[in-house]
Amino acid sequence: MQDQILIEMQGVQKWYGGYQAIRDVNLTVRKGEKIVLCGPSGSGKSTLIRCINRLEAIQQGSIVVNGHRLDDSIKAIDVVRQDVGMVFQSFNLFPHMTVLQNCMLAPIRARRIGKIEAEATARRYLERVRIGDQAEKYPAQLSGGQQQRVAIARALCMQPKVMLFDEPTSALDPEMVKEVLDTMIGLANDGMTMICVTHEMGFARQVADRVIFMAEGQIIEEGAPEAFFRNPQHARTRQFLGEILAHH
Amino acid sequence: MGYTLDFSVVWHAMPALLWGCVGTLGLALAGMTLAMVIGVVGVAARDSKAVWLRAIVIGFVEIVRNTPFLVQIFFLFFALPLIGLKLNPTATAIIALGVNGGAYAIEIIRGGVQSIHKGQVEAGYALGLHKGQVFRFIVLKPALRAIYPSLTGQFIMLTLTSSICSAVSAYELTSVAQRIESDTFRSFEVYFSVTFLYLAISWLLMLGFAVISHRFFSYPTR
Repeated sequence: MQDQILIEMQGVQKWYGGYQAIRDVNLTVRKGEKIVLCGPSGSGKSTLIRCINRLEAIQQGSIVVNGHRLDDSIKAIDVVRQDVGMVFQSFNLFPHMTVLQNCMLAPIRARRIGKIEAEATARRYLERVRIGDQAEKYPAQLSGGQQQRVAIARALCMQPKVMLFDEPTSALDPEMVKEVLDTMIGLANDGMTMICVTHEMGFARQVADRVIFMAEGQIIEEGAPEAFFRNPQHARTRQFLGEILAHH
Repeated sequence: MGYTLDFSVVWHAMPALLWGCVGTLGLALAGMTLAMVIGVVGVAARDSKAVWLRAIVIGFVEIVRNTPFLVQIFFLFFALPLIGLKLNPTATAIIALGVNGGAYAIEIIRGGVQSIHKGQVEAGYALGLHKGQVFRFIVLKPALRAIYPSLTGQFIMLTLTSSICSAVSAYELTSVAQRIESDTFRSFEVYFSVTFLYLAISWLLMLGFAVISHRFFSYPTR
């Protein structure tokens, strides 16, 4: 069912004190869609995806994830977080646990899955991100690219319906960006629903169904990658694309 | 002066002194355990959403850290029986040491918790873990590792402070020494030897702490 709506944001507004970080954002994400969010720093794109799994609270509007409306109740937040996986810029692996333990913690504690099954699942996803041979190592013993692939596997172990990527390659050395992007492309090809905050426009061209450009907390424009890159409608978008593409 | 040293007194009393060491170690280990429980629970409560709970923890830490240990243990031993809470000297000593050490442990462990990057906590939430689980499984161990030297230093202090428990005649090294001293009038010999026994106890504990550190906190970091 390609038309099933997984995320529905309506009239979302968010303030930090007097500063408005998100201004009246409406966004619908269907099952299997891959969305790339871009925009200058401070445009609210990270904040927006952090609202989807309630790492940030919103002040107005509504967010419905897989049919569950996010409100202040712990139950709603729980249900939504189980459906939504997230990968962070700084990996955020747990340093005191091995790679395998990192991947088993949440399935055992949050999903209440048995140890044996959790380990089997963890090993399967670690193989899938091509890091199965590092399962017994600690995060600090891995390269940045390897750590980020573990972080992706860790999120997948919860078998989420949607994956959020918050600048997943920004903290990586250039030679490690590709291995992480390749993993994400593989995930996209397998049909995962994804929202990626990234400046990797090559990735956007290759996998995105839609590219969304944000500035000052608003969605300025969105479109299919070809149209978006070839023929941006707004001056603000053209300026941004000019700045980031000049560096590539 | 005409005072001649006679360490034979200490030699004869050595079994009693060594049992005193055992008493001191027992009080210290029990006190540390209680302090650790109070410290961890206190830190969780200190950052709870409930204002009254935070207030209790802050008040507790303030009172304990800004009053003398001797007064605290006298309060437990002499004042509490008046409201029907009668404790024997050993129980009094353990509770006093645990409560006192716990107040310091709360502040130390809290520093460790605050040193944990907020991304660690967010990763836990994003994976669907609850606040308590995030604290228990993600924050606590790296936090304890970060403050391990200060915490174990505080626990050595707690061990040495246990000598004050002689004031309620708890069974430990100093009270044993006092008894021998009053029987023999050999103050110099007795307290000279006891000094070294305390030093040995401290070293033994430091060795134990190093073993624990190696066993639990030796994961690699960059």
